[in-house]
Amino acid sequence: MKGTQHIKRTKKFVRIIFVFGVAILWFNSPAYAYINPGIGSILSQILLGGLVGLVIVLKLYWAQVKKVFLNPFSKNRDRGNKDK
Amino acid sequence: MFEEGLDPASYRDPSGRVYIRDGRVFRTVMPYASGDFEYVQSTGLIEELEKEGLIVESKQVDPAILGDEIAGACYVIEHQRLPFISYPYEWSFPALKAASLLHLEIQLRSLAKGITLSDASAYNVQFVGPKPIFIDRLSLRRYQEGEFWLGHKQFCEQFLNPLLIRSIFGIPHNSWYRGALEGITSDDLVGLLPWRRKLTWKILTNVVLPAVFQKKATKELVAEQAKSYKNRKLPLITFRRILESLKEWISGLKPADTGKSVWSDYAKTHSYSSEELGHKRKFVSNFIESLKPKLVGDLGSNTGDYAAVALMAGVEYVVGFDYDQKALEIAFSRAQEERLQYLPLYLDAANPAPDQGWAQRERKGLNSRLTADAILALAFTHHLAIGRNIPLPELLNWLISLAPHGVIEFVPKSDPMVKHMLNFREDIFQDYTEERFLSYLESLANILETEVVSSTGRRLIRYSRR
Repeated sequence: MKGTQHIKRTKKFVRIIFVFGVAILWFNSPAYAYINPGIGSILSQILLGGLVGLVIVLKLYWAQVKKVFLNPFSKNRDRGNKDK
Repeated sequence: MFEEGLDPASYRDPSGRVYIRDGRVFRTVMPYASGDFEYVQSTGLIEELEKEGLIVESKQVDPAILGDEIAGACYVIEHQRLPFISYPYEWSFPALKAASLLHLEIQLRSLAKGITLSDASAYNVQFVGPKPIFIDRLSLRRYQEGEFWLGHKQFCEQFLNPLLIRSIFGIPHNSWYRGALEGITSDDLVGLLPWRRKLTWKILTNVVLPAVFQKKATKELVAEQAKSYKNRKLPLITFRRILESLKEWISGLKPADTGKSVWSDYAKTHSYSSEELGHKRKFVSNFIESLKPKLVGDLGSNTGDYAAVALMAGVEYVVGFDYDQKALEIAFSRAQEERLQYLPLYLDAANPAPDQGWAQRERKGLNSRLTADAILALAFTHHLAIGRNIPLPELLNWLISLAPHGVIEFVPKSDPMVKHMLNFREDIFQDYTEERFLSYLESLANILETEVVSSTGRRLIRYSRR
């Protein structure tokens, strides 16, 4: 049971990363402007876009990592709750 | 106000142009922008911003009103007229900050309605009193899913970098900005920044990286990026995050030089006793009450004491001018706190803002913009006559040219302030006497009333131009 949950979670992550990757890199957006936005500014926004995506993905991973570390405690807590 | 006809400053954006007709301000909407104009209109954003006074009020009028001159325009809108057009190089630090925050606020609110701003020009912000107001209705257009913030570079050059040079180095933006009308480039700013500043996250991502990328981008890289650019996307969440973090950052910016200046304490340290001050205020107040001017220019406005007196006496709007940054900042905060229809601006009176920009017609000089009904020049003329060697006849001629009526204060050589100014220099001002001052003034204007208002012999003179 636990194993299937883990696989489901992993699949979910892969999907999220994939969606973000696609979102950052592949959508069509014919932006237009009469001013010159400047390549420097666009490149840093591409970078920022990637970073913000990365931070969100890392945050999700971090929750998992934290869970692994907190696992023994959370088990204890669970038992405690059950005892009650 | 501006000259009649096509506004020479509105050439950049093909969306439309600005026309002045009989003192009224019109904006055309060309076919290029009509779809966006209609979309923005349908979202209700404009009414929302107008209601809160964040955007200039406008109404649609019959295009025939402008005749053949605007052939091809789909719509014509008429804008509310503003009392005075000012430029970012005349704004104080808190004014530029308020304008920046308004730009970000409008950009954020627009995004929530599927709209974005096509540029980030600081000249699209004006002031009514200390309140910034957005004036370019046609910069608002449909947001395309995933598009980049195309105004980021312009925002940094015209808002952020000028604020940073003051908040990091204590250098006021005004002179630099006036020389570089498009703002302070990130490249220039990066050249000044110490390493530890360059590496702070916000400066790194908004200033340093764009400047470095811009500089290092080879022709090949630009060509390659241009190919894939259309396929790339900035997620809306990131776009919003960039705007929100800039808003947060700019809200907390303060000038680095927070000490007192010569003039910021003037209201407490000037050479008047409180009784004398009462006389001076009464004189100004009487002048305003009898003349009933609508727009007053206050030269040497300092922290806004006499602007406040004039407003109390019934003036509708006061534009103040001073060259002391601290005094301007105090004046601006005061106008905000007391909700005064008063806008204090930076001016070095010996070098007023000129006609400049494209064809020297884009940004107007002070004289052609200031159409004041009256001026106040209190404790002002000696700074030019003695401090800057401006000959009295020329000085008075300039002052009288600014408005048909006014009050000027003459500060004699016996006054401690003038004595202080002459402490370390030869007195080459044989001409600088009350008698000469009055006779020069009389050759240009009718002197209506004078009164000595201090024990040191300072005299207020009320005049009307001949």
